[in-house]
Amino acid sequence: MAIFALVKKDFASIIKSKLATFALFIFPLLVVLVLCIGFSVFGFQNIKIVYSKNATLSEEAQKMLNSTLDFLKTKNYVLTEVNFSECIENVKVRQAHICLVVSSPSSNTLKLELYVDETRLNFAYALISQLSQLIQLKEKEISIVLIQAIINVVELSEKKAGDSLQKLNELNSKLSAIGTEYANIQSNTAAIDTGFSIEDFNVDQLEAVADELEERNLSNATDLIDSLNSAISTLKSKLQETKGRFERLEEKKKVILDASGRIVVLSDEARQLSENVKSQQQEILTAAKGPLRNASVLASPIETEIKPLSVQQKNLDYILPGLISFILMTLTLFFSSILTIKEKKSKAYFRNFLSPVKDSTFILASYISLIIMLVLEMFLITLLISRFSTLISPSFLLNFLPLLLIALTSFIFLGMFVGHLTRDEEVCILVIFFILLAFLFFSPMIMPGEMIKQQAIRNVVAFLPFNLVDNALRDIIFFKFSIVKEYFALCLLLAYATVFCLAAFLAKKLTKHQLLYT
Amino acid sequence: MFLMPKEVLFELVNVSKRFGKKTVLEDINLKIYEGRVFAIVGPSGAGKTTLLRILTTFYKPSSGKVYLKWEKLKKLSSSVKYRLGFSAQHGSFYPNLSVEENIRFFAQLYGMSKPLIEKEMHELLKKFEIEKYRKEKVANLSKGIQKRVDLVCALIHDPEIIILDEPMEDLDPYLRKKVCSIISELRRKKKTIIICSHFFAELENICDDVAIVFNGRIMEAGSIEAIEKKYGHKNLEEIFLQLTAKQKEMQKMQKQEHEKHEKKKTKVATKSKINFFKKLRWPFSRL
Repeated sequence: MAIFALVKKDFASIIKSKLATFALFIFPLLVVLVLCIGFSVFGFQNIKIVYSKNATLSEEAQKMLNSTLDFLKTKNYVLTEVNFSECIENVKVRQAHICLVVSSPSSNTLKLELYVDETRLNFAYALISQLSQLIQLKEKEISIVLIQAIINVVELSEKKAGDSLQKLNELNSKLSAIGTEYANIQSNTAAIDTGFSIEDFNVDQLEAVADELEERNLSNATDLIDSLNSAISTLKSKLQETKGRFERLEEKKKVILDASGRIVVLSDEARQLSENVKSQQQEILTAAKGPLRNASVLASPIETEIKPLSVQQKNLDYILPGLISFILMTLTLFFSSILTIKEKKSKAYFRNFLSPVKDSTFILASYISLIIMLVLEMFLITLLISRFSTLISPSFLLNFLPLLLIALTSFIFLGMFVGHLTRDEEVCILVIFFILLAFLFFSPMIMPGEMIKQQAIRNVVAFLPFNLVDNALRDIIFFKFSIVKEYFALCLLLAYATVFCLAAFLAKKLTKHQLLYT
Repeated sequence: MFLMPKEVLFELVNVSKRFGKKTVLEDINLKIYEGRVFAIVGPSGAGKTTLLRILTTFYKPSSGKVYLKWEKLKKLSSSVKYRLGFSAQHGSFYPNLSVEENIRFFAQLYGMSKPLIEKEMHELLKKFEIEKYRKEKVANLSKGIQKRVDLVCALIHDPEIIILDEPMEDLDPYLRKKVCSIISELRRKKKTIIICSHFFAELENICDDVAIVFNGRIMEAGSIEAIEKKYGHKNLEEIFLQLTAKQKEMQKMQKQEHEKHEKKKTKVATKSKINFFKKLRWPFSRL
């Protein structure tokens, strides 16, 4: 069958050309190897910082500087003190990466100025990021000290409040005892009988007896009668006097009763008041417990820490999805477009044109050849990456294969489309380069689509083929998702593949009468 | 049967081809009969290859019509393609593949079975004396061998219509003779052969009809006997030289005329410019 002959021819053409074999198979492997090694050993090591003090620093500023320098040393930065001009010069001649100029605008502040080669601004940002960590750390330390002092005060108040609470309890019990005593007094006082009536003494009867004796003219008893009358009158006056006393006693009793009644009310009110104070103290004590005890919680109540959803150990692991999808896309686009244009420029083009083989057969044969070669190449690349990352497992490969096939199909047809539209390799490479640049630019590797303001553009960017592959790979590699969960991305990639296939077919139809080889 | 003898296979009526402003072919009227050998002769750049590409529908004529078996030719159908063999001027093969890989590949495109391919390939390689190169990469072979490989590729599927663009180029006299004998053999088999070449002596012996093309125009066309008779039994090369010389002379005269006209135009323009400046100076001269 013609299709097999075409596939066989494609393989033979590539394998027989040493340069093509190298460029298409060996070179990508070498690039991946270099990238893997590079990312495996990537980190901030031996970054040289020269620093210069702009003026004599205050004791406080010097302390801060020392702690900053110590911190930087712990982060493996190499620090050397020089004067200002040397500091700048060192950066210029690349003896150092960053020049740090230290000054102290006021006694308690420290100012750090970073001088960097503009082309190495990334170092400065890394340093600033680490310094800001240090500053945050310092700020937290200071806040903790201050808040601890406040907590100490609060704790003392709490202790005192506890004591006063006890005393208030005592006061309460005493007040209630007073109340009871006064109630006793009241009841006893009320029980005092102050009732007094002169009539009860029958003085009138005595007077009547004296009057009768007088009427009887008992001459010899005149003295006695007078004495009796005088005794009666004395008794009367004495009784009158006693009555007056009883009446005063009654008044005093009333006063005592009123006063003790008021004392009971007052003691009740005092107890109520003390109860209120007690409950307020209780509230203070409750409020003083809990978070107030932890100074670090108070210093930074919102603790932020970025925790990964999956545990990766190396830098390579983090960039693995992006790296695989980038290699896949780059390799496929270059591979398919260059192969297409090479076929168009080949001497055999005219004979192929005159052969009875349909255009669709040519496209299908190229697709089959490319997908076999690229799957093989991607397998080798994945195998190579697995030497550097533990994330590549047999289960990953199983889930990766369907995604790989569909992604490769999309990119192969896109590459073919570009290959058919362009007339020479240079233009073709340029177009592919711009496509790659666009895909990369709008990918999480450079500019996440989520940051784009316009909703429509954001949607387009989210569904770009590279982003779909990258996101699906992220899910499969990091979160161990099954490929079934990625059906939406797969469907979209299939749709892309269909569109690109039609575009490639149309481009071939439109340009088939161009003879590039003369 | 697909082709009836002595029947017009291709007919070109007032065919012209332009690439941008450049006219490569102009007002071509030709009839190519089936079962005959048709030669298109002319110097390099005359438009021979373009004419062949129009016949294969690779190029569409800018004006005029092409007929294949009385039907307007827009696109070669699959059945015609199966019966068509083509050998390009500079070869049409994959240089990275070996001789037999190339032949096998093109044969497979025509749906030939493996045993048939092997049989035909063996015969043709032997016929063209390149059997010992069958395993060699085509890119490593000399132009002469490459030419023969290309011819084998064109003939492997035993086509009925064979179009050969400069089949004798890069070949030594012995091989030219060899190719001629193969063409003669195909002629005997009543194949329709269209050859573009400037090897007049070789063509004279193998062709039935000829068209002399010069500067994109047909100077003369018809059977070799008729043309030779018309020009007093001169050979093809002499007729060609006579026709082209006349044409060249005419062209020279035309060129001279054109140059004269251009000179005159420039003179008039210069004169008018001078007059213009004179007129400009006139008001000042009166001061």
